[in-house]
Amino acid sequence: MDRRDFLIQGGAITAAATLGCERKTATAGGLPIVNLDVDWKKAPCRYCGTGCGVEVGVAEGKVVAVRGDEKAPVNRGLLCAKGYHLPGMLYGEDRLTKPLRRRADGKGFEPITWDEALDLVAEKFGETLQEYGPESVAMYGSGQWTVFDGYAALKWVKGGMKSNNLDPNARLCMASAVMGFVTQFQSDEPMGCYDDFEIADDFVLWGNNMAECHPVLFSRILEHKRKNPHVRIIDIATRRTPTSNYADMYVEFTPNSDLALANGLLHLLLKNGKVNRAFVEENVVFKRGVEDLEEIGYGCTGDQAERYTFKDKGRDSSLEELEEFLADYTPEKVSEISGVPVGQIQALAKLYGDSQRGTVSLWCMGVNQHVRGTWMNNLINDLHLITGKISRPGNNPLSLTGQPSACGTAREVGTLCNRLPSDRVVNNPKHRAEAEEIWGLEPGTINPQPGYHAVDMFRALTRGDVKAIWIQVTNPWVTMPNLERFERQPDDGRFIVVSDIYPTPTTAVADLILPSAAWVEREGIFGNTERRTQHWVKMVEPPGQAKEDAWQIMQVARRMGYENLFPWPEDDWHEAMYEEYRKFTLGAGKDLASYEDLLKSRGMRWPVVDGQETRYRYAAGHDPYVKKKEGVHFYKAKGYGEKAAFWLRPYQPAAEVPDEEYPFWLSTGRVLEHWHTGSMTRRVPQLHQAVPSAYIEINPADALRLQITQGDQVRVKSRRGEVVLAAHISGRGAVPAGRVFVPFFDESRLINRVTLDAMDNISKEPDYKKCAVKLEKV
Amino acid sequence: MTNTADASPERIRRTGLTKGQVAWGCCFLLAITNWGCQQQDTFDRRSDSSARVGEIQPTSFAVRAKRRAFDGAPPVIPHVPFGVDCVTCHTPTGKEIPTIGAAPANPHHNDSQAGSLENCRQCHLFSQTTTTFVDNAFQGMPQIHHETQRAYSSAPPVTPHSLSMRTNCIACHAGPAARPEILCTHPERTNCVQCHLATDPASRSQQPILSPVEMPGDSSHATRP
Repeated sequence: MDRRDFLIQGGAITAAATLGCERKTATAGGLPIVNLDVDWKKAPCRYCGTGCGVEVGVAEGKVVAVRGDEKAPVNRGLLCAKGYHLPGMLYGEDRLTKPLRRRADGKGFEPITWDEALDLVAEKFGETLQEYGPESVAMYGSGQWTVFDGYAALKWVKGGMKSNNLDPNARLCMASAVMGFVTQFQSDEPMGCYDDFEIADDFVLWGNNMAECHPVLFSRILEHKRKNPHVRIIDIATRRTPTSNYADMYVEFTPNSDLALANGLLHLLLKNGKVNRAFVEENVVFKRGVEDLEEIGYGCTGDQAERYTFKDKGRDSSLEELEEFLADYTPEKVSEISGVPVGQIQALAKLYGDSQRGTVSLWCMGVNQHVRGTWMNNLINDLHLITGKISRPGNNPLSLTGQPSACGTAREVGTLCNRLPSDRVVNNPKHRAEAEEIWGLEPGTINPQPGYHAVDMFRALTRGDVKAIWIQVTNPWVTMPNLERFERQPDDGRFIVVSDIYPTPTTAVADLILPSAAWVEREGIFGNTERRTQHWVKMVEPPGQAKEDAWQIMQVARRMGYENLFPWPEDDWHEAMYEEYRKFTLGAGKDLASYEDLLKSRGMRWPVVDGQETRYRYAAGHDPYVKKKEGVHFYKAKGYGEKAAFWLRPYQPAAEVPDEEYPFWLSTGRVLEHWHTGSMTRRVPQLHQAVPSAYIEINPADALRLQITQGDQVRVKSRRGEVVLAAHISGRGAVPAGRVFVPFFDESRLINRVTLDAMDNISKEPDYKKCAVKLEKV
Repeated sequence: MTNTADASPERIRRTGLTKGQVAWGCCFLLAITNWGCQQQDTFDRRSDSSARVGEIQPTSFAVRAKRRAFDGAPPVIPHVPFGVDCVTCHTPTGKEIPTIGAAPANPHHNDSQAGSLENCRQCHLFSQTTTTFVDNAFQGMPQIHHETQRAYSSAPPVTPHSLSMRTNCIACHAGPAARPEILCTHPERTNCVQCHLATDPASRSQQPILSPVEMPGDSSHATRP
């Protein structure tokens, strides 16, 4: 009998007898007494970008429990269903425990040793590199990579192989927010932090289902609202979600028309004299980019479908030009485009224009996974710039993140095809030189040409321009849009390595599968949404021969002759690697805490100067880089004279709009119980049982017209592919007529066979929220 | 010693097994949250009419364990959605629902974090199926019983569990859905913590942790334009 039987039967008495000396057992009046020696240590949650603190309970070499860390400033003891069920994620019975190579006949896999596996990777990448050059090798990483993994990957790809074909799945998730911050403040990541959840008066959610996707943060807002009834939550969305139930105002707009709505708000702010002129004069410059729809396109048709390389060109603009530009966006016109009633537009403009109330804008995938995602990010930041509601407690735009280290690894380490650590880019000679110096490389080693961004990387793989690729901690054969494009052909001459903890549709197409250590089976550092860097120690051994991702990369790099990049002893390198990486951050305004402080703290928010974290970037009295006595100083924006850029961005329609043949808008997204592709959460019985499979939300009027009833099987078909799903006519979310919603976690019902691979023009982030489909009852 | 974080070997070895102390400890430890209202074993909560206050029924352990991934995990919801807000039935004092049974009280009701606990389904899951996607070998922490602390034999026992998110004591220790084993003999004395000290949360972690630089909510932060 094992502990599970014990739990199921509740038979503490019998179980206790078999559990050995570590449990002191006895009975008293028929009462079972069990003592289990549980050791508790801190860690950030494995899942989303919120960065909740958990205490992990370990007994007998296994994780047996977690609890919300009451001292963690992020979540103060509260978690969500996924967080509470974290331990089960490690113990799915199909954990990958040995390296597996595809058999010579192509059918199935055979186990090999680590030495053979690592030699094979080094040999294949070495050969490809020699024969076809650095453009032919690639690594596709993750916002779930720890800082260690990302940094090792960056050094191997950019410092070793001299390639820039390194991009993370964060491209599918956060790239538009990155480009929003970079184009306006010339430095990535938000100025605000979670402290605003107890300070602000109005929370404006742009296409953001926080109650399901960031439930712990949403709970903080609800608590603040309960204590302060004047607090308001505004839910701007294309479908009603559990979040809408808590909102003071629900604003429903036609997909893609959020661009028009934001411009409509700017129009009213100007018209009603709500521009904070003193702030704008001191801190803001105006810019205008390319707006020609033909030139920009959507990256999914014609020549653009192979290599989408549009580049925006900014020119100086002015407040006067803005006034002229916005003349078109009257409330009536905006209402016509967006379907939002004029009264709601006016109410929203009043809210942003009210200088007596603190306003925080929140957004995540609705704004980022958008064919004009960078523009939409710009417009939200613009609303805060024009009113001066920025870099002040209770007044900030705060983009939320979906992965635990999208910020800490993908964005800060810079595992993107054009980036180096701490806001550096490969096409800047000074930045390359700084990296080469820290890495001890010859000047001129780093390739100045940006590599393939995520979607382009997989297009290049299909074309054959990329021949060897290593995929870690992510599942692109579930998450890439328009998946049908990327199907593998037999004997295609590619070499695909996948490191993961469970079998997925991505490991199924691999030539080599490497078993990885997960979460607390290794040491790690994540960086969350509010710039908080959090460290955890290794608590349990990984199963079988599983190894951490950074170790795998370093072993291959050493075999390829790049041992100089990883000069640390094999059994003791984490601190040395982190302290080397930290050199990039010091003085760059992104200063990370010392390794020692990370060990002791429950995370610290950068810039950390003299051991003090920073709550509000660019704000006098908060940010140590700001020397002014009061106000703000956008000191990172050297290119704009240390001011922030307000970008004029117009409304443009979506890439694909419903028509007679394909009459429905399809949006995809998440549910509370599952995280991303479900490869972890679906293996947790409680979470799987709560939402066992993907479904399609249909409006009751549409269902009636199509004679679809609850639970009917419905074929969802687009110009690209189809999938059959059960109909949910009134579920937790409610779609308006003419729109449907499908969660993407279910690998056996792949909605990404249906989605469109249209992209944002600047961030190259695909739009998973809009394409046209038709429905057929099966 | 009442806390799992302090369960070092030394402390466990020092754990005595005084019958009365143990009984009380277990009583309190049982009191977590919902005992549910759908499944047969709990619908008829008073079918074991012989149960007396203070007496533990093995079924209680079984039911309690079945609904939790491990001790301390939020229980899954043992009934189908009824299409109403959870707090309609799970009131601060619990409620008899005709033809269905007794809905346990909401143990979070008095909580200082009550606002943050409004979104019940953030933590508590309905089940749509009993199957699994892949079998799972996870073995959760069982309910851990410790000696109950008292200053002397007739002193009120210290609460043997954390009060985090369950400050509404009567939700489990009184009311229509409370298990008989953990019924309180004196629910009319509503200020439970007047006599029963809560476990000190500071003792929960032995890690040296820097104090947060500044905690939100300080008046100094509430600067407005």
